[in-house]
Amino acid sequence: MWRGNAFPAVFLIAGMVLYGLFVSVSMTTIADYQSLLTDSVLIESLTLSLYVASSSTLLSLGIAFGLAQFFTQRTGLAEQVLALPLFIPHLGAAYLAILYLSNIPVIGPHETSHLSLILTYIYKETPFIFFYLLPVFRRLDHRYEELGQLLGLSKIRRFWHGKGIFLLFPALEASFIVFAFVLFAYEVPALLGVTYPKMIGVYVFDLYTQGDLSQQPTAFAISVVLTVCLLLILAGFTWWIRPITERLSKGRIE
Amino acid sequence: MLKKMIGVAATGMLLAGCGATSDMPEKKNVLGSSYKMIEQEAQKTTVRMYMWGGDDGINAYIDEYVAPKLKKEHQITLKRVPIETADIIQKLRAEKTAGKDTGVIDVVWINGDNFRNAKKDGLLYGDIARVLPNIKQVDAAAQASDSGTKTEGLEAAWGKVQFAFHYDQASVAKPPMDLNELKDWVKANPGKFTYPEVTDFTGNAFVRHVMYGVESNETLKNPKSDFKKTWAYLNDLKPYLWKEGKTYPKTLAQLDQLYAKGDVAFTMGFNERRAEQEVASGTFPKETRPLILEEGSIASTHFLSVPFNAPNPKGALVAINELLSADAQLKKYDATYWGDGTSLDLTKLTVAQQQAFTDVPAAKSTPTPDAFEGKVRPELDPAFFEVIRKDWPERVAR
Amino acid sequence: MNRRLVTICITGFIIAPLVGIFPETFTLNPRIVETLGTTLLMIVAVTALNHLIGYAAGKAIAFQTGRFIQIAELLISLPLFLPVLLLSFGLYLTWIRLGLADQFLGVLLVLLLPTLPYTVRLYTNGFQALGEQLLEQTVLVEANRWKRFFFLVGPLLRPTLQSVTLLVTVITLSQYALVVLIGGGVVRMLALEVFPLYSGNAADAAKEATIWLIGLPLVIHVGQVGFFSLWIRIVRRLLDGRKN
Repeated sequence: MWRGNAFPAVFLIAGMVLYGLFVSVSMTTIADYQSLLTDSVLIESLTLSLYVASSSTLLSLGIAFGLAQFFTQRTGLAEQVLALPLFIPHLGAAYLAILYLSNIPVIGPHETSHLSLILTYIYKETPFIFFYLLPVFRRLDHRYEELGQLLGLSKIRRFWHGKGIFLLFPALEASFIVFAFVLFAYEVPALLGVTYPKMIGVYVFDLYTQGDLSQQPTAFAISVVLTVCLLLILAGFTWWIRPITERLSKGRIE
Repeated sequence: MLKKMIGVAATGMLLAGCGATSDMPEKKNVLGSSYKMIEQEAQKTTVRMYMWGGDDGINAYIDEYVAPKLKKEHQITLKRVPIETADIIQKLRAEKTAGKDTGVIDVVWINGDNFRNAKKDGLLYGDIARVLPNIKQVDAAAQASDSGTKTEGLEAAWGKVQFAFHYDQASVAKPPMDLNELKDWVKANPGKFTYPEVTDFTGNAFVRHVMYGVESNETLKNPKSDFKKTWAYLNDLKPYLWKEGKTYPKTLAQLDQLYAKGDVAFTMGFNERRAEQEVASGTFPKETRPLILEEGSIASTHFLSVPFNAPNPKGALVAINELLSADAQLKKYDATYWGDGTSLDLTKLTVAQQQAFTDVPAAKSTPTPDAFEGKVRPELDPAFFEVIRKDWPERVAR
Repeated sequence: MNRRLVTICITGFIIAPLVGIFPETFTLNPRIVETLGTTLLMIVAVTALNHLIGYAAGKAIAFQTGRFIQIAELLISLPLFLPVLLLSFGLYLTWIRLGLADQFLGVLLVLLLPTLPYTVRLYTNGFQALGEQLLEQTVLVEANRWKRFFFLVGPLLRPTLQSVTLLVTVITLSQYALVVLIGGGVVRMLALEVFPLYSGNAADAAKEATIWLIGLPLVIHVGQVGFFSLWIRIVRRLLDGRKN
């Protein structure tokens, strides 16, 4: 048995997730899903969530990528400092934003651009992606790039064949994790978000808790739809992109 | 709607395998027994009180005054749990659906649409009022109905307040007297006024005051009408509000903070005396003054109730009875912690107790009784709360 | 690029926001102190379960091959990509039925959803970095699995073990909505007090709460660094003893 055992983890996680999904589905009727299509508030909320999630993810990824490249062959104090935000719970980071960003005149009046939300996520997620990618950067074999140079490849192609394909999957994976995390978050947008539109996590939680029963099936229907959409993306991700990158990187290592 | 309820219930059955709820003979026992017995059996128990926790003064009143008092006089341990009232109702609803006979909440602070929903869905314990000795000294009119919904003893009136604005005299020399003047003032002073968003209790109430001011009596009778004039008024204000109306304070507490910092010149809220403690502690500006608009001020009563599945109903009843005592109400009324209007009918108290209430000094931030003359408005039907919550985001905030 | 400049920029951006969180007066809020017991117990329990389950699963994903393990990996990572909070509405009704709602155990189980997938991933990476060959050799060297873990695998995996504890602690502390929903206000975690303070009107109390929120993971991390140093020192001493 020294090769480990995945059953307890699968049982617990898949059990809770799929059962939660099953109960949610059983709380809804077809009509609830049809009404979602014409719910313009929901659509605006989704648009905002996608905007905040994708800009937080892309900016964090960009900064983290640069930093990881910079620190590949260097260590030092800065690397330790970068770990600091990992110690700060998201709830605490949201408070830092309340404390500072709402008072800065440049940022304050433009809250509609959701800057304080995005900045909070950059503060928290950049180190996450950085430490996700750093080991990959450090494991890269520089001989590929040297080989590319010998072969006279262009700079871009050299980067792609030497580093890009090895980094593609980890970078996509880290981004996807951050993206989904921001997309469905509750605590941070509940504290920092604007009145309208609300981020989807807050919107659905409010639907579930506010007022009388009539809104509840809608809340369940939205959770089901979102879950299924993400499941589809995830499946595509696993069965389509992963084999490609695996084939590519394996071909090179062996 | 009915179909959905059946669906929910059916799922509940499915999940449990069986959905039989016991007859609860114990419930009748509690409400049928004498208060003396209840008081005796409640000793050395723990009572969990679930209440909105966004105000420092209110929290301190419970933690620093009520909890020690209950401990000393009844050996009851009071635990305050800070959760939004809507979340509490939601929790009870889920417990009801799943058939959980013994829950965790003993006392809940409630009123308005939350009470209406709780009553409709059978989430409350029963006619608790008739068991409480102190209910006799509670104002009968306040106790009878909650925003137009008959209480039927399901809850006990804890406090009675008026809606009031507060402004900083240092920056508002000539305060607006009605909604039109308010609009003019806001336009002349962009960024210095705002109100909480309507999921907040106070923000919702502000919109109801606008309704009282601009809608006809005919329209106000029917929650299903189109409140065009209200939305138009609010949209007129919007570009001149704090942050150009692109966002609103999420809670009254946040509006109070803005007011305390001087970012806005007005704050508002149920409880005409609420600024006293804030001014005294130096949070609000010294020159804070009250303002009651011509269009009127809604009178609101807030209540305490016991959920259907309270684990310790006896302790809950003792705690509620204590909260309705003249002592506890006086401490709530004066400016030490909270400064909340009493739900008691002062004429039913002893002369000494009456004197104690009249002796509580009124600060300059508290309106004189004649400020309300002819302006007291009854609370609108709770259906309006829901309409505002649903329509305001789309018609105003968007 | 100038290394010093980069260091100064990073340090500035990361440290600056932390400067202002110290309140004018620090008054040990008794309500927060009351939550510390449950909070710490929960952190210990969630972390322990994460290590136990995550260790086994991470190893399996790193070293097993075949269709099953691929699907297992996908299933385990589901909560990373799905709206866990929204799904927990459905879970909540069941928890009431099973008597898990408003219970420590119920919250503990639900907290595995936002934590365990990260843990498994960290362990998978950790084991992959160790490599199959190395692990095979340790089996040959030491047959007893507990001794093997104590002398070899544990110290080798130190970075992974530490990251898991830190990450699980931080995520657990951040959960408000899940803990309110499933714990019903009875399972009193730090976030339950902190969240209302953040949307309330008491600035100093909010700052104090933030110090707890950031301080707890720091203290726990310092503790575990000490623990590992001691562990490795003991291992060294014992191994030296064996040699002689």
